[in-house]
Amino acid sequence: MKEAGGNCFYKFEKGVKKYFNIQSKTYEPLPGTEAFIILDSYREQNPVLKNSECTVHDIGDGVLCLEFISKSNAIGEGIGKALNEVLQLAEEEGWNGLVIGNNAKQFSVGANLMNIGMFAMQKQFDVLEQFVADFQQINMRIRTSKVPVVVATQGYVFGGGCEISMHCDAGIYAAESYIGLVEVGVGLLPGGGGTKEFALRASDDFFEGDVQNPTLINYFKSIATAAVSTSAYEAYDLGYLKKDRDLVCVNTPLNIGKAKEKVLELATNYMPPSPREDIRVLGRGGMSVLYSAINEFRLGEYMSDYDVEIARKIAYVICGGDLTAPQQVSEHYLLDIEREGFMSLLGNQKTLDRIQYLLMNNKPLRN
Amino acid sequence: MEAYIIKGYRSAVGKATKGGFKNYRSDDLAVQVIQHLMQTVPQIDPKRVDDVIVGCANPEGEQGLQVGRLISARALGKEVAGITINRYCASGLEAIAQAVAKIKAGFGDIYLAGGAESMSMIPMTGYKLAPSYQANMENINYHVSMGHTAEAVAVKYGISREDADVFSFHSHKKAATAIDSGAFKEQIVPVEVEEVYVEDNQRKTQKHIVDTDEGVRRDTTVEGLSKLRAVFKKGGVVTAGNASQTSDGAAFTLVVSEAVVKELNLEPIARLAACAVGGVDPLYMGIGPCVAIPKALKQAGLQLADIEQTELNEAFAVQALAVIQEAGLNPETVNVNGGAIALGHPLGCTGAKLSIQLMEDMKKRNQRYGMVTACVGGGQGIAGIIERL
Repeated sequence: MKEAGGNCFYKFEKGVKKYFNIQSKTYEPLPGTEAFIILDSYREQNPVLKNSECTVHDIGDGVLCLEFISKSNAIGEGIGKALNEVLQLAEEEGWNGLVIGNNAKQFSVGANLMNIGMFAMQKQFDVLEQFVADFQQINMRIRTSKVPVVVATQGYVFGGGCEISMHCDAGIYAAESYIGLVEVGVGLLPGGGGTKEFALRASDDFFEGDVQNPTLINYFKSIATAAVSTSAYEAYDLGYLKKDRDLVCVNTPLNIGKAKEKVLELATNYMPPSPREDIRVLGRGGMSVLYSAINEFRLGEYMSDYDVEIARKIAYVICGGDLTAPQQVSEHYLLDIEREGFMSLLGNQKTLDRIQYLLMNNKPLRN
Repeated sequence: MEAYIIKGYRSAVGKATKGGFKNYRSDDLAVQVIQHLMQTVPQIDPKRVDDVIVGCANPEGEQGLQVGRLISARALGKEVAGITINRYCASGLEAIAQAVAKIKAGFGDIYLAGGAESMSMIPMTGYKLAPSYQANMENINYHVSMGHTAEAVAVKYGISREDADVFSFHSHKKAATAIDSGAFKEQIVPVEVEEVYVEDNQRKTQKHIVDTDEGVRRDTTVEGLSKLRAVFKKGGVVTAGNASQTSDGAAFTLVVSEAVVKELNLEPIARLAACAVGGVDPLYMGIGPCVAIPKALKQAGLQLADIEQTELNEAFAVQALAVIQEAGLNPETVNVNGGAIALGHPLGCTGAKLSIQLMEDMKKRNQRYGMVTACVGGGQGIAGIIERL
């Protein structure tokens, strides 16, 4: 065994779990584990990148894996910075692509609320606006990078984590993924491109002769009610997953391996998507139907007055603003009004109260 | 010139999406009812009909494409005109009122007026809910859903859940008694429905006759109704059990001038002595009859005490109770054969259907004055006073 370079029957080598074969007197891959990628097994090798919030591993075959390591895998500046760097590295050094995934219980609880709340209470709105703008740009960078990016999730895929996922080229979602844009719970709207993405997805679902409003209402409801899927399958119905793009993986430990396979599949002749300029938004016509829907929720006492205010901001963004007629707009434009909506809510004391309450009590405040 | 109602017939009212008319278009239903009606008045050449006025609350999809004109051409011939009108739940009564008004204005002599609605095929708010942005900016409740108006009425007029459930229970009991006694038999046109379908990879054809209102729940109890969940509001009072049922149906009346009565020696059964509409706050839509009833009584030169029987459309039990309370109606003479909670509410058809039911029942009870009244979406009320002849 010592001659074979080991001191116990099992060991990890370049991410592969091996056992000592007594007959051949060599370490060989453990049968049946080839498809599993356990990131702990890469700890021995030098990471490609590392900071306080994430580690980037080389998981073989020219594929990188960005692993969140922050508390609850909350998304802060470190993850954003690493994503920018790793995508640049992958593009410049000719890597096949990137997997965003981890083996933690929760994929990500979303943006680092503590930081957002702290800056907001200190009224450092310039810092916050830059943070939101950076996060939007990172997600757009994921969308338009020259290498394919595939997400692998399990557990909570909330808020910013969900927004990152929706901007990848594809996703491998463990069946037990609980996915949602839950920002309304803390008095915000999805500001990292999530609201924009729902406007885009609604637009893509419209078809010739479609009356469009029911489609818009369905997407709107997911965000405005902070709907969380009870499984990855349900996330298709809520709009977080796309049938032509995302896959559900029943065996959770397989998800990163499957995501790597997907990266390699996409890497052949990969053509990165361009920022869209053909998103059909409905303007005032859409806002009006959503305002009516919001009124129904309020009258039914399923929304507070402040929920109504937040929902109306979401309606504004998802409809492209109060345009007097439907028209096509760009992702860039939608991101701008999404950021404006996010910042205006962040300036409201009721949002700060919600953030503070959630941080202190671990449950949402309905003020 | 005076206008008279000669006849009125209706289809049975089917349960929307699961009843006998779930796959039967409302225009087909209207054609059947009108043709039956005209056969009972052979003195009138169908080509002499001046217009067919069809009330329809959601004239789109299967009920779009000028459904009123389509019905007139198919039922009576291409020479006869037809029109679709819409005052939501009052459309059927409005159609009769318009026929009367046209005759009195001298615009024509013979009209078919009523309504047709398939709620199986067209959802409550139509396929595209598209409220006005400007209107919503002015008053968000212009487009409020009917269930929320009922909840608002319940709060404002102090109607309890228990009262609503008891009222609904009695609606079912009265309707069951009426059906069992054959009260509606003479007014209903039996309709044969053909269904062609595939079962066990075999194409099959089945025919059945729909001739009885389908909505009544004979086994309902107050206790059972009290267990139902509020649909619109947390802790609210409106449930599926104390609201009107979504339904399919058609109902038409033949309205002619005094001159035609004399010319063809017809026997009128009634006249629409008055018909009035009025507006209320859209959030309290259900109270609409309270503004229309006094106007109609004034038009007719009558007092409320002169009204021997009332058909009050039971959009919601809480709304009906609020109207009875606020308008001072005698509960004993309201909806003696049950209402829309038990018998269904095929929107645009309802006003004509209730008028026909009222005329038939007044005849049996030898009454002279009766009233049809309904609340109307958007915050309106309608009341029509019928004098039996």
